[in-house]
Amino acid sequence: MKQNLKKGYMDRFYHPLFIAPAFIIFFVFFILPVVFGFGFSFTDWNQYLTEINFIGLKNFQEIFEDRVSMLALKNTLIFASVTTVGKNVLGLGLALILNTKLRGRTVWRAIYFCPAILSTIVVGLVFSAVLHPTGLLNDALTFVGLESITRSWLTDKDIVMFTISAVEIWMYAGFHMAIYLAGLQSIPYDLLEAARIDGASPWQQFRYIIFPLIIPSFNINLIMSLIGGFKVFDMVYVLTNGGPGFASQVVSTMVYEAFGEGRWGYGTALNLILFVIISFISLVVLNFFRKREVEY
Amino acid sequence: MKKAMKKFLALTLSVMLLALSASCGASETPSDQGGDTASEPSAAKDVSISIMINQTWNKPSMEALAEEYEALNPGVTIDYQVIPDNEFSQLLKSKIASKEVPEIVMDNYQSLAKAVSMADTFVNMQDREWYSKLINKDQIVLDGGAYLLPINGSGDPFGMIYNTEVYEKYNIEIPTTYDEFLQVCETLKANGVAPVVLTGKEDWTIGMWTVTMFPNVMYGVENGWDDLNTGKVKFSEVQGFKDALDVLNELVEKGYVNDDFLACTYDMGQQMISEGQAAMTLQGSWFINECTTKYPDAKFSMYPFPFKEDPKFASGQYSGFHVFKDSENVEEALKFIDFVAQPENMTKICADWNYIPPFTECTNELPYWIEEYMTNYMEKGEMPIEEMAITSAVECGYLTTLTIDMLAGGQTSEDVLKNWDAKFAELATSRKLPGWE
Repeated sequence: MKQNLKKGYMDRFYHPLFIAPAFIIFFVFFILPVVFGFGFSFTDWNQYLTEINFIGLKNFQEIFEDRVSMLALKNTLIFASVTTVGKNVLGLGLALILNTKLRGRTVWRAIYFCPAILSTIVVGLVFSAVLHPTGLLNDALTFVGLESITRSWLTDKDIVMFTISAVEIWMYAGFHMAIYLAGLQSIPYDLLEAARIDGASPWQQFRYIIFPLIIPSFNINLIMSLIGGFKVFDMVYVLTNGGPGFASQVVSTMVYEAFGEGRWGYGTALNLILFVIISFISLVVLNFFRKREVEY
Repeated sequence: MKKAMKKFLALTLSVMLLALSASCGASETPSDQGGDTASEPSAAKDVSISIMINQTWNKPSMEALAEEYEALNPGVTIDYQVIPDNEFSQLLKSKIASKEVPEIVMDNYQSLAKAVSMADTFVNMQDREWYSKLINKDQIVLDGGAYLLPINGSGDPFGMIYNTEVYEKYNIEIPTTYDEFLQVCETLKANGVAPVVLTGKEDWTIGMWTVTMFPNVMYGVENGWDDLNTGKVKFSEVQGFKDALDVLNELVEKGYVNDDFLACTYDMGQQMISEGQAAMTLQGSWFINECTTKYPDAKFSMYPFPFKEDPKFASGQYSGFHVFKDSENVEEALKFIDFVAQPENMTKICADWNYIPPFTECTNELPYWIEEYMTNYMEKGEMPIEEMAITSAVECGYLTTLTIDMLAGGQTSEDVLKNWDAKFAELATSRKLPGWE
């Protein structure tokens, strides 16, 4: 009797005990520093001072009063939304086309996926040259007679964020295409055939059968592209370094500059704002689509 | 058979892809390993000294000296971390902040002293053997010590550098007033030559204009920089600064600069001037050095930019080698510094830069443009004034970004000065500088 009780007693702690080591490491090296980091955003932590003072919301006040920080937030929002739409529309479009019995489609899939495995720095350097006022793009446009639409792609402050977004879309559309392909291939062909026989148009097939069944892929792609869009740093850094002037500053480049100046409390506060925005949007999107996931 | 071929092909391709992405990944960031540990000083263990250096500063003499030193000291390897110019200062600051520092960094002295505490970060060189032989040993003392081995005995002159053949071709004389300067620009523009070249892709080259013009504005003003640095006078209250910024605006508006002035790179700018497609730019004398190395037929000279009366050259900072206190192999690094400080080795470096050497025993010949500068200006008593990176209490990088924003149409010259005042106040207050406590 006593022995049986003992066995049951240990059973209850069996599961947590196995998780504990990994969780402790995760907690100490990830969760705790992040929480401390948030704490630092309420201080005047600075490279030049020997003591750290609590200053409440002063960092946040400075951020919201600073014209450049607000511009950076705006640019980040523009970038995130444009790239998310671009990557997903293009990715889904490519996936739909390359899911048909097209000849050589595996080669096409590889070609479109390739940019995603390149180093961002390399892509940025190459595109800096291509997008130069006398670079490949403008030369090509002039050659086919489209000189009127040539621009200073990276130095015109009205279009620079869109140019950077375009390069990012070029780079990652193939990646999202791969995820959509995986989702599309799990749709049984007889469903679509039945719909076609019943007289559904391609658009109706897409809207009522394909799209609902790939909502999990859509969910993942949306979250990934939104998060990636908000966190962007390397693409902006290597193409324009936030320039010309401040026209293409994003939150991450501002954080980098703040840390470079030694204003660590301020930089952490900026990061906290970014974290809150990303978490909020991700949770909303995740929830919205989770409810709509359909199974056949 | 077909299946086996397919498998083989797939395997080869995936290995190639892996190698490609791995090599791309590796070439992204320069290695920032400080070096292997080698704490025993006497044992011939493998010691690695890392030297962080700017891309355009990595002259041939550097490699040669490293090889020579390695040959004389087996077991020691010297590893140059070569960083692109426009990333250098931010990267250096992040390394210092994260305490992952190399042994040596080669950088400008006075501006570095604004960004970091020299006494806490670098080794004081005053007790090295070669220190007392420096011709500028008194000028390099700040923050309680001398923290570098300088490679120049006096700063580079900053002024309007021009291609002498272009000037001769259109019978242009050196302008001494602003109106004459504008006239020169008009003549050049009419003949299809871009008068002034701005290489806006590299921030610091636009900064050259402000760090030269602003001290000119302050020349002769008693306590000028002291008042600015302690906040008694604001930059936006000085009309001369606004006029200086408007000079840049005027040059752009009148079409006296190259069309792609925001996207033009430093290399492209050098090519344009050397090949005669552009005539001049405001730069330091190293610019001539670099151009003549790449384009040996081009000829250059300099004059002070006459945007106001009685213009002066600005003179640059000392640059050289700084040794980090917190690096892994400080002793070995200092030994390398002593090696470089030997007159015959320092001569090689100064020859590459065409610098006035820091030791009288160095024997490098000075190039014609420096000789001209010394004859036409210095020996006549026209001494240069210190550039703004030396006179300002905080680093001026932000002023440069604001200026570029102005040139891109993002703000006016008044906005630039107001925003610079705000930034200056921010940085000075957070660092508790005198006058801002």
